[in-house]
Amino acid sequence: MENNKLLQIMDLCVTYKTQEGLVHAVNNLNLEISDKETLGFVGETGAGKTTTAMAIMRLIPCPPGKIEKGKIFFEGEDLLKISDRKMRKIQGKDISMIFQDPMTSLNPVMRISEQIMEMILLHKKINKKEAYAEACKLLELVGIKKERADDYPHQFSGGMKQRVVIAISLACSPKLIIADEPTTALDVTIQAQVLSLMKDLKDEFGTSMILITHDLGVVAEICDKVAIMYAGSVVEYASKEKLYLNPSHPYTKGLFNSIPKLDTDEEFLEEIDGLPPEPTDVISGCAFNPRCPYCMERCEKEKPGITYLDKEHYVCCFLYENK
Amino acid sequence: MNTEKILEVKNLKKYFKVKNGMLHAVDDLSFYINKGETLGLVGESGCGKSTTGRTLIRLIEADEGEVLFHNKDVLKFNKPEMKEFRQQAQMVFQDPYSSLNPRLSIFELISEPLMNSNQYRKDKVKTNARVKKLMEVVGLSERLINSYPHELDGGRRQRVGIARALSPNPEFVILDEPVSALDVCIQAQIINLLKRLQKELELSFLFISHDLSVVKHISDRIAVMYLGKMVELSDYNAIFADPLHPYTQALLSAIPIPKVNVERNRTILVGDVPSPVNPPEGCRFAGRCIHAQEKCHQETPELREVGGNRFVACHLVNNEPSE
Repeated sequence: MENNKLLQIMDLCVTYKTQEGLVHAVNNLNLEISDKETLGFVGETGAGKTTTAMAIMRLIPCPPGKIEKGKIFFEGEDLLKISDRKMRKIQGKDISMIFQDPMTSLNPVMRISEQIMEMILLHKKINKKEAYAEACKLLELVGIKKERADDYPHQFSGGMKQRVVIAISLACSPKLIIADEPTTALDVTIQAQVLSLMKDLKDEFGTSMILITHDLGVVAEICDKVAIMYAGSVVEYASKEKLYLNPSHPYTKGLFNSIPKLDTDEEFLEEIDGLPPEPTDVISGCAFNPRCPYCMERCEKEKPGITYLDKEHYVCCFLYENK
Repeated sequence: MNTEKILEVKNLKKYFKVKNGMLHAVDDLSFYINKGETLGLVGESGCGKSTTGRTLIRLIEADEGEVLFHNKDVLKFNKPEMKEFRQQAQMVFQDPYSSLNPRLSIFELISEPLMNSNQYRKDKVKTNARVKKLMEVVGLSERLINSYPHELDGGRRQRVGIARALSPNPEFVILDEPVSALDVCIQAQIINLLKRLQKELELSFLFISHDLSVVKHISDRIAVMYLGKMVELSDYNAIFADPLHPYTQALLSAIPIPKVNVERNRTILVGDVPSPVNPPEGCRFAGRCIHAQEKCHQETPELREVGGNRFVACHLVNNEPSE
């Protein structure tokens, strides 16, 4: 095992059993995250972004979900092999999570101080008073006055609630934070506040982060590396600069072209034809082939492997294989 | 450009009675929409965008003001006139998951508005042909005609919503966040569809959205709302090239841009949008405005023209726009 990698996912496959058949939510996913790195995880609804995050946290409901195969190494230890008890110690302490909707991820009948203390008391050996003081400190850190520590979630606005959730996730100084669409439910001006807060805190604590989002604008602001997901696998992975200046996979290109530009006028947007595949569909070959403008005969038969365009920039597409 | 005004709104007001007073949802709004034009209405959640849209077609009754449709006041229409008006003004709603009746088939959904007119109610063949034509226009394949909404994905459902709105041949369509619930690729498809339809059918749109990049792409003119008041109204290029109101400036700088290596001067607003219940005198934005002066807290700025068909409600903007 290389040791500079904080998290390493190898050949992860996750399926869900549904009435319509087996859904392959994540297909042979490979990913790495180094220390202090922020990885942006981009894809459309149903691409398997959240499932991957849940798999890392071992939160996949089983049944109907099942991790078919794969390894998730966190600091050299396979998270899928350790005992539940040991996993409980990692959840929230070493890896913590920020969920999408702050309106539903906080307990409405608990004071926010209690919700933060809950996390601290679970993982640290300190008494309640010290934990309360720590909770107040965390609130100040995320920009909430400590006088409000005894308020309930409904007394806060959406942006403030998300700050509370961030405070909870930071409570035990985790090594990795998984943020699942942390700003999607917020207005743009509030989103800008929360993003700049997250950026500052990440630098201050030196935490690694996985940021799950569908917004390429958010990624541009905060991430170092980007992985583009389509139908359960990563189709392109690169550093932010390389990906934005030189998007290579036809899906990545299509994604960039679909966004209305602020600085140029265009009559019509370039669209990707067709729709994302149904989760129960099994597509032979490359999953993107029915929508791909460059589709070749080979794409319908074989699954493309990883082609490195550059150190730290790979793409899963036959177009680049011989270059 | 045709400059016939299809809709003119004068001093529209809608207050809601709530527990602690009056909620100023729409406060003294005036604007007009030309034939064949798209007016974009932008603002954060709770600023009164949707209420405005709904009062225009009397889904919510306005408290005060006039809504002139072809120079006739919609708010004073009696029942038969209203029925006539509802054929000409239609609405597409935000969430295609909840705005379609799950127990009606696609055929029934699209033909329902047609049942108001005798020529369709009595002629099944004609209705059938019209529904098929509409499905073709919005890009739905004919085989879906007997499907139910749950069988369709978000993009297709929104196409049904659009087909339904277009079925009585309206002149004016209110689009209330029609693409917010959709993924970027599908969003691009729907926006292109709307633009194409507008050209072909000479429709006028009121496009309500919180997403400035989408609004910029589709609108001819843009109106920015803050807490029930219009703060700026002008040409789409002018707003993006040279926003005058401090709120517009902050809003624009808060949009995450999907590009790397762009230097931006960002103003991140402090605090949250204040409550619209019993707002204080003065400019509603004064509490968060970095340029706020004493006058701003005392006098409410009126929306006034500052040259070049640009309107702004701010004490600090000079009469001549800075070029």
